[in-house]
Amino acid sequence: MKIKLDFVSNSSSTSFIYISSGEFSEDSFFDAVGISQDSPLFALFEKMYYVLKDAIRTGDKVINESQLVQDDKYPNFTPEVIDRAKKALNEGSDVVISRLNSDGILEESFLCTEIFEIESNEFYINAYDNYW
Amino acid sequence: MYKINSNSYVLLAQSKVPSFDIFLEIMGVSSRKFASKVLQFVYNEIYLLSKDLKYEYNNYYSIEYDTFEEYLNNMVGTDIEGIDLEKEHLFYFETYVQIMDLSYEDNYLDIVLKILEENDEN
Repeated sequence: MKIKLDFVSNSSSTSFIYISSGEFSEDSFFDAVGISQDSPLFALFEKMYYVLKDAIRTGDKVINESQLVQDDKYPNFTPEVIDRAKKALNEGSDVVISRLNSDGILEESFLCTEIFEIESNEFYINAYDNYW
Repeated sequence: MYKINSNSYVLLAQSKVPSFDIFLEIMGVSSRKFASKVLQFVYNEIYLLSKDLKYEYNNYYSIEYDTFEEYLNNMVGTDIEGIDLEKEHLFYFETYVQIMDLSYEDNYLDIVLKILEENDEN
């Protein structure tokens, strides 16, 4: 178990949306984020991949457009992101909304507190709602 | 050599300040993608938001303190043994960037600093 030293904080979580027409593979992720396997920081992004992969696996699969409304359960994604998700659903792509915890390992905590967007030919992740 | 003192401040001696593009190359990261945005925080903290104590001494304190070493002992009060004081820059900063945050047991600060030192010697 990895531990955080020095202080105690309240944990919280933020959300992201995942849209994909294929598999969320390591290679596609590393290519999308721009990290080389030779990089001294490869382990950082490898852990981020597994954090996201696990979050996607345990997230809420969106089956129909009505689930994409802005309410207390789901965060306030922009109209553009919601439109993209609706289009993806109509095309039979996977749409998942999931959460990241600030109390997780360093890599999850970082992703939880950062606004980011990762895009490749195979998948799209939008966490622009992660204002902390 | 770099030093991390008991207050979590870092002392890093460098001959030169790499451009952000060179920094990304050193870290094995492509520009304009997510990883480069993560590394932007790291670069800013080390090179842009830090104090360059060599610069400060040469421009503001070289009359008040006879030697750079004396200035360091007074200003930062830290063990500086092993730090190459002849290098052009001596960056002094606290690690706020989460991936280098010392309050996380598995932070990446040592990895980043070691790579920057190795690159500086080449």
